[in-house]
Amino acid sequence: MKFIQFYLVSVFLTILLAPSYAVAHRVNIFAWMEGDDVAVECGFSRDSPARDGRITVFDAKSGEELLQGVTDKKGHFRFPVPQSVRRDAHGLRIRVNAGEGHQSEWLIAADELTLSCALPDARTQPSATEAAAHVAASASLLSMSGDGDTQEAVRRIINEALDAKLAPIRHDLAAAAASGPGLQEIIGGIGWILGIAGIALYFKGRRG
Amino acid sequence: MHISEGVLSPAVLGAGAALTAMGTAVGLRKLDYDRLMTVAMLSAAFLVASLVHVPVGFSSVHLMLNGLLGVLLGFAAFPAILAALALQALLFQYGGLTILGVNTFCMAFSGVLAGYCFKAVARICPGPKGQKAAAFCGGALGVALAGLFTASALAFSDEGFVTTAQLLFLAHLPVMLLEGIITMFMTSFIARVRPEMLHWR
Repeated sequence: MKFIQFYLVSVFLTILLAPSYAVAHRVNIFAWMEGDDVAVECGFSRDSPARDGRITVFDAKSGEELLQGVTDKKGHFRFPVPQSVRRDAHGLRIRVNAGEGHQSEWLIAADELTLSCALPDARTQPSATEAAAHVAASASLLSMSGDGDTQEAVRRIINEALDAKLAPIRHDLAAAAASGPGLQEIIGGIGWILGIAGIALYFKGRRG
Repeated sequence: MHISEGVLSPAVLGAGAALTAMGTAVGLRKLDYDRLMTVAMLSAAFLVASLVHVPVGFSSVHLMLNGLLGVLLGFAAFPAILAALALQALLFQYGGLTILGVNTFCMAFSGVLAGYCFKAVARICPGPKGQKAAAFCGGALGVALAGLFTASALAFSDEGFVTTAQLLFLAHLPVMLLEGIITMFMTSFIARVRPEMLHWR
């Protein structure tokens, strides 16, 4: 009896003290723009961050390795957008390797980069109807400010404010896309297995 | 203990796929008509067990049940685990299809070895007590060997074998104990209710 008690206590102690990182299915990675920086977050499930995960950033088009880093205690990593990628309008491919064979990737498209980092010549051209209203509105602004530099500065400030406001929403979207399987999927999986077994039984039964 | 896609080299992937194909072939040959539904149910149990995270303390654990499958099914654990892992890869994006062979071999072959360990221990010490001890060994050994095989597969990537093996072993110590207990209870229950289930070839 004493042995069993000791055994149960030791089981619960080891479970309590055990690290959880390796008992996971896959590592999730999200990345989003925050101003001129790219913020990366890595985790195993909703509340367990991937500490000390090795981050490697590639040019999405050429496959060239741009920079490396390690996530912090909360699974976060930040890096400024490399100049070469911004200049050539390539995307970013961010890879995390969290050890024990857990690896994931996240793509940041080129247009997302250029949207966030105000580039004077890479702006999207407004359509004809929009342009008319635009000219009228910006005419007064220009008459006050005088040159294109100020306009660019305003644009930059607006972009930064929008990024700051949108960052949590982007993060939530990414988190929702990577959430674990729900009840429906689990039950669906059981159904698949029983279905396969049923088909196997049918064919084995026909053969006799 | 799912290895993600893109971590291992094609040679390791190919070797894993070949070994899994052989194991599945052996398993399907040994599988007779009466046991097919048992295999399917245990395959479903394997699928669900690794999805249900039991929160314990600051961390959460999930069961693997590969030891139990090996003890109850022998080589038929190969097709059961292959089906469950394929569905996990397709439905939940755990692991992946290219790495399915390696993942299946790591989980299923460790289960098969655990099953033979169960048989050996049960033969050495007969009686219900011996059977319980044997089942505990089988359940715990399944998890430990799965960690060992996963670490060996990763040894061919840029991660060191020893550190990975140590990490996996430490992280899975509680799972080993839990699996041992669960396998013990399941086996003694089945030995009472349907003893013929334990006598696979």
